[in-house]
Amino acid sequence: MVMGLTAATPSNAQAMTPMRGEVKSFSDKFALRVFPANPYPHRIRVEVRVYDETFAPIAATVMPQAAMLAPQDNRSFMVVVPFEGQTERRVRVCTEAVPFTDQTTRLRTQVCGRFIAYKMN
Amino acid sequence: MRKLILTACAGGALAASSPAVIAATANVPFAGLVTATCVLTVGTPGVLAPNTDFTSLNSLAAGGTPGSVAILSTGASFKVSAIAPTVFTLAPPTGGDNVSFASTYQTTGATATGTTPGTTQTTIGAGTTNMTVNLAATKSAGNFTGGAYAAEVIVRCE
Repeated sequence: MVMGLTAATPSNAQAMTPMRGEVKSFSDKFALRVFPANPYPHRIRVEVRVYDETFAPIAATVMPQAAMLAPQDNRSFMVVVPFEGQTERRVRVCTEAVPFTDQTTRLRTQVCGRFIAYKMN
Repeated sequence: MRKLILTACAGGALAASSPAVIAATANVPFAGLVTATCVLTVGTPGVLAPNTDFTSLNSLAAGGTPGSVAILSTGASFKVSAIAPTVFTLAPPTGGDNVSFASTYQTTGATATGTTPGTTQTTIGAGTTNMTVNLAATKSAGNFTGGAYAAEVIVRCE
Protein backbone atom coordinates (compact mmCIF):
# COMPACT_ATOMS: atom_id res chain seq x y z
CA MET A 1 0.00 0.00 0.00
CA VAL A 2 1.27 3.43 -0.89
CA MET A 3 0.20 6.28 1.29
CA GLY A 4 0.05 9.75 -0.07
CA LEU A 5 -0.39 13.37 0.70
CA THR A 6 -2.96 15.44 -1.08
CA ALA A 7 -3.06 19.19 -1.17
CA ALA A 8 -5.95 21.28 -0.06
CA THR A 9 -8.09 22.56 -2.91
CA PRO A 10 -5.68 24.58 -5.04
CA SER A 11 -6.55 28.04 -6.21
CA ASN A 12 -5.43 29.79 -9.35
CA ALA A 13 -2.12 31.60 -9.72
CA GLN A 14 -0.28 29.27 -7.42
CA ALA A 15 2.85 27.84 -8.93
CA MET A 16 2.72 24.70 -6.86
CA THR A 17 0.95 23.46 -3.76
CA PRO A 18 1.72 22.09 -1.28
CA MET A 19 5.31 23.17 -0.66
CA ARG A 20 5.79 21.33 2.61
CA GLY A 21 4.56 17.92 3.67
CA GLU A 22 5.06 14.78 5.67
CA VAL A 23 4.09 11.31 4.49
CA LYS A 24 3.85 7.96 6.26
CA SER A 25 3.88 4.82 4.14
CA PHE A 26 3.56 1.11 4.86
CA SER A 27 5.06 0.28 1.48
CA ASP A 28 8.55 0.54 0.06
CA LYS A 29 7.33 3.58 -1.86
CA PHE A 30 5.43 6.72 -1.00
CA ALA A 31 3.21 8.94 -3.07
CA LEU A 32 2.63 12.66 -3.27
CA ARG A 33 0.18 14.72 -5.22
CA VAL A 34 1.18 18.24 -6.18
CA PHE A 35 -0.70 20.92 -8.07
CA PRO A 36 1.39 23.09 -10.41
CA ALA A 37 -0.39 26.19 -11.67
CA ASN A 38 0.12 28.60 -14.52
CA PRO A 39 -0.03 32.25 -13.44
CA TYR A 40 0.68 33.56 -16.96
CA PRO A 41 -1.85 34.84 -19.49
CA HIS A 42 -0.51 32.34 -22.02
CA ARG A 43 -0.22 28.59 -21.86
CA ILE A 44 3.05 27.09 -20.67
CA ARG A 45 4.63 23.68 -20.48
CA VAL A 46 5.42 22.57 -16.95
CA GLU A 47 7.50 19.63 -15.82
CA VAL A 48 7.67 18.02 -12.42
CA ARG A 49 11.01 16.67 -11.29
CA VAL A 50 12.15 15.02 -8.09
CA TYR A 51 15.46 15.69 -6.37
CA ASP A 52 17.14 14.73 -3.12
CA GLU A 53 18.36 17.23 -0.54
CA THR A 54 21.40 18.12 -2.62
CA PHE A 55 19.36 18.57 -5.79
CA ALA A 56 20.61 15.32 -7.30
CA PRO A 57 17.85 13.81 -9.46
CA ILE A 58 15.94 10.86 -7.96
CA ALA A 59 14.50 7.95 -9.93
CA ALA A 60 10.85 8.62 -9.18
CA THR A 61 7.70 8.04 -11.15
CA VAL A 62 5.88 11.24 -12.10
CA MET A 63 2.49 11.04 -13.81
CA PRO A 64 2.36 12.92 -16.08
CA GLN A 65 5.97 14.06 -16.31
CA ALA A 66 5.04 17.19 -18.26
CA ALA A 67 1.86 18.93 -19.28
CA MET A 68 0.62 22.04 -21.02
CA LEU A 69 -1.26 24.31 -18.66
CA ALA A 70 -3.79 26.82 -19.88
CA PRO A 71 -3.68 30.38 -18.50
CA GLN A 72 -4.61 30.49 -14.81
CA ASP A 73 -5.09 26.73 -14.84
CA ASN A 74 -3.68 24.04 -12.61
CA ARG A 75 -3.67 20.28 -12.58
CA SER A 76 -2.50 17.48 -10.36
CA PHE A 77 0.67 15.48 -10.80
CA MET A 78 1.20 12.18 -8.98
CA VAL A 79 4.71 11.47 -7.72
CA VAL A 80 5.76 8.02 -6.46
CA VAL A 81 9.17 7.78 -4.81
CA PRO A 82 10.91 4.58 -3.67
CA PHE A 83 12.47 4.50 -0.21
CA GLU A 84 15.48 2.62 -1.66
CA GLY A 85 16.15 0.83 1.62
CA GLN A 86 15.85 3.91 3.80
CA THR A 87 13.28 4.36 6.56
CA GLU A 88 13.16 8.12 6.14
CA ARG A 89 13.52 10.04 2.92
CA ARG A 90 13.63 13.75 2.28
CA VAL A 91 12.87 14.86 -1.24
CA ARG A 92 12.26 18.01 -3.20
CA VAL A 93 9.50 17.97 -5.77
CA CYS A 94 9.96 20.81 -8.22
CA THR A 95 7.69 22.36 -10.81
CA GLU A 96 9.75 23.77 -13.63
CA ALA A 97 8.87 25.94 -16.59
CA VAL A 98 10.57 28.15 -19.15
CA PRO A 99 7.87 30.69 -20.02
CA PHE A 100 9.91 32.63 -22.60
CA THR A 101 12.23 30.62 -24.85
CA ASP A 102 13.21 33.21 -27.44
CA GLN A 103 15.81 35.27 -25.56
CA THR A 104 19.52 34.82 -24.92
CA THR A 105 19.09 34.60 -21.17
CA ARG A 106 16.20 32.33 -20.43
CA LEU A 107 14.85 32.19 -16.93
CA ARG A 108 13.79 28.73 -15.80
CA THR A 109 11.49 29.03 -12.86
CA GLN A 110 11.69 26.27 -10.33
CA VAL A 111 9.29 26.08 -7.41
CA CYS A 112 10.29 23.30 -5.07
CA GLY A 113 8.35 21.70 -2.26
CA ARG A 114 10.17 19.90 0.53
CA PHE A 115 8.71 16.62 1.70
CA ILE A 116 9.74 14.08 4.28
CA ALA A 117 8.52 10.47 4.16
CA TYR A 118 8.66 7.82 6.87
CA LYS A 119 8.46 4.12 6.19
CA MET A 120 6.21 2.39 8.74
CA ASN A 121 6.66 -1.28 9.56
CA MET B 1 -67.39 41.75 -7.41
CA ARG B 2 -64.96 44.59 -8.30
CA LYS B 3 -65.38 46.04 -4.79
CA LEU B 4 -64.54 42.65 -3.31
CA ILE B 5 -61.28 42.38 -5.31
CA LEU B 6 -60.23 45.91 -4.38
CA THR B 7 -60.88 45.17 -0.73
CA ALA B 8 -58.86 41.98 -0.92
CA CYS B 9 -55.94 43.81 -2.57
CA ALA B 10 -55.99 46.56 0.00
CA GLY B 11 -56.05 43.99 2.77
CA GLY B 12 -53.05 42.19 1.23
CA ALA B 13 -51.09 45.45 0.99
CA LEU B 14 -51.79 46.22 4.60
CA ALA B 15 -50.67 42.77 5.65
CA ALA B 16 -47.42 43.08 3.67
CA SER B 17 -46.49 46.38 5.31
CA SER B 18 -47.52 45.31 8.73
CA PRO B 19 -44.76 45.25 11.38
CA ALA B 20 -46.25 42.10 12.75
CA VAL B 21 -44.58 40.04 9.96
CA ILE B 22 -41.60 38.15 11.44
CA ALA B 23 -38.44 37.98 9.29
CA ALA B 24 -36.13 35.01 9.64
CA THR B 25 -32.38 35.48 9.28
CA ALA B 26 -29.57 33.01 9.09
CA ASN B 27 -25.82 33.27 8.81
CA VAL B 28 -24.18 31.52 5.89
CA PRO B 29 -20.64 30.58 6.84
CA PHE B 30 -17.80 30.77 4.32
CA ALA B 31 -14.40 29.20 4.84
CA GLY B 32 -11.23 29.57 2.86
CA LEU B 33 -7.68 28.32 3.00
CA VAL B 34 -4.63 30.02 1.55
CA THR B 35 -1.77 27.59 1.54
CA ALA B 36 1.79 28.85 1.91
CA THR B 37 3.24 28.90 -1.56
CA CYS B 38 5.51 30.74 -3.90
CA VAL B 39 4.53 32.05 -7.33
CA LEU B 40 7.27 32.91 -9.79
CA THR B 41 6.27 35.05 -12.75
CA VAL B 42 8.92 35.94 -15.30
CA GLY B 43 8.48 39.53 -16.42
CA THR B 44 11.24 39.77 -18.98
CA PRO B 45 13.97 37.31 -19.90
CA GLY B 46 17.44 38.81 -20.19
CA VAL B 47 19.66 39.71 -23.09
CA LEU B 48 23.40 39.06 -23.17
CA ALA B 49 25.68 41.52 -24.93
CA PRO B 50 29.38 41.15 -25.76
CA ASN B 51 32.14 43.35 -24.43
CA THR B 52 34.51 45.13 -26.79
CA ASP B 53 37.01 42.27 -27.10
CA PHE B 54 34.35 39.54 -27.22
CA THR B 55 35.66 37.65 -24.21
CA SER B 56 32.52 38.17 -22.20
CA LEU B 57 28.78 38.08 -22.74
CA ASN B 58 27.06 40.00 -20.00
CA SER B 59 23.57 41.27 -19.35
CA LEU B 60 25.16 44.29 -17.66
CA ALA B 61 27.12 45.23 -20.80
CA ALA B 62 25.91 47.92 -23.17
CA GLY B 63 23.03 46.45 -25.13
CA GLY B 64 22.29 43.79 -22.56
CA THR B 65 19.29 43.67 -20.28
CA PRO B 66 18.69 41.83 -17.03
CA GLY B 67 15.90 39.36 -16.51
CA SER B 68 13.10 40.11 -14.09
CA VAL B 69 10.93 37.86 -12.00
CA ALA B 70 8.06 38.72 -9.69
CA ILE B 71 7.94 36.48 -6.64
CA LEU B 72 4.69 36.30 -4.73
CA SER B 73 4.99 34.51 -1.43
CA THR B 74 2.10 33.67 0.86
CA GLY B 75 4.46 32.29 3.49
CA ALA B 76 7.44 33.74 5.30
CA SER B 77 9.91 30.90 5.13
CA PHE B 78 10.68 30.47 1.46
CA LYS B 79 14.14 31.00 0.04
CA VAL B 80 15.05 32.19 -3.43
CA SER B 81 18.20 31.94 -5.49
CA ALA B 82 19.27 32.34 -9.13
CA ILE B 83 21.45 29.47 -10.24
CA ALA B 84 23.82 30.13 -13.15
CA PRO B 85 24.04 27.57 -15.94
CA THR B 86 27.14 25.50 -16.59
CA VAL B 87 26.74 25.40 -20.37
CA PHE B 88 24.97 27.34 -23.08
CA THR B 89 21.71 25.86 -24.27
CA LEU B 90 22.51 27.31 -27.67
CA ALA B 91 25.93 28.23 -29.05
CA PRO B 92 27.87 27.96 -32.29
CA PRO B 93 30.65 25.33 -32.53
CA THR B 94 33.47 26.10 -30.03
CA GLY B 95 31.41 29.05 -28.77
CA GLY B 96 30.84 27.33 -25.46
CA ASP B 97 34.45 26.25 -24.91
CA ASN B 98 36.38 27.60 -21.90
CA VAL B 99 33.35 29.49 -20.60
CA SER B 100 32.42 30.08 -17.00
CA PHE B 101 29.11 31.53 -15.87
CA ALA B 102 28.21 33.74 -12.94
CA SER B 103 24.80 35.04 -11.96
CA THR B 104 23.76 37.75 -9.54
CA TYR B 105 20.43 39.10 -8.39
CA GLN B 106 18.89 42.03 -6.57
CA THR B 107 15.48 42.19 -4.95
CA THR B 108 13.09 44.99 -4.12
CA GLY B 109 9.59 45.06 -2.69
CA ALA B 110 8.62 42.85 0.24
CA THR B 111 12.24 41.79 0.60
CA ALA B 112 15.07 44.06 -0.49
CA THR B 113 18.65 42.99 -1.06
CA GLY B 114 21.67 44.48 -2.74
CA THR B 115 23.58 42.68 -5.45
CA THR B 116 23.79 39.07 -4.30
CA PRO B 117 25.63 36.08 -5.81
CA GLY B 118 23.13 33.81 -7.53
CA THR B 119 23.90 30.77 -5.41
CA THR B 120 23.18 32.65 -2.18
CA GLN B 121 19.74 31.91 -0.82
CA THR B 122 17.65 34.83 0.42
CA THR B 123 14.69 34.27 2.70
CA ILE B 124 11.76 36.27 1.40
CA GLY B 125 8.91 37.64 3.41
CA ALA B 126 5.24 37.38 2.57
CA GLY B 127 4.19 39.64 -0.26
CA THR B 128 5.59 40.47 -3.67
CA THR B 129 9.32 40.66 -4.17
CA ASN B 130 10.75 41.76 -7.50
CA MET B 131 13.97 40.10 -8.54
CA THR B 132 16.40 41.39 -11.17
CA VAL B 133 18.73 38.72 -12.51
CA ASN B 134 22.03 39.26 -14.31
CA LEU B 135 24.23 36.72 -16.01
CA ALA B 136 27.82 36.87 -17.23
CA ALA B 137 29.57 34.31 -19.42
CA THR B 138 33.32 34.73 -19.55
CA LYS B 139 35.87 33.04 -21.80
CA SER B 140 39.12 32.09 -20.09
CA ALA B 141 40.72 31.53 -23.49
CA GLY B 142 39.77 32.77 -26.94
CA ASN B 143 36.81 34.89 -28.01
CA PHE B 144 33.14 34.35 -28.58
CA THR B 145 32.63 33.51 -32.23
CA GLY B 146 29.72 34.85 -34.23
CA GLY B 147 26.40 33.10 -33.80
CA ALA B 148 23.41 32.82 -31.54
CA TYR B 149 23.88 32.10 -27.86
CA ALA B 150 21.36 31.23 -25.19
CA ALA B 151 21.74 30.29 -21.55
CA GLU B 152 19.27 29.41 -18.84
CA VAL B 153 19.33 30.77 -15.29
CA ILE B 154 17.26 28.81 -12.79
CA VAL B 155 15.29 31.05 -10.45
CA ARG B 156 14.42 28.80 -7.55
CA CYS B 157 11.96 29.24 -4.72
CA GLU B 158 11.88 26.53 -2.08
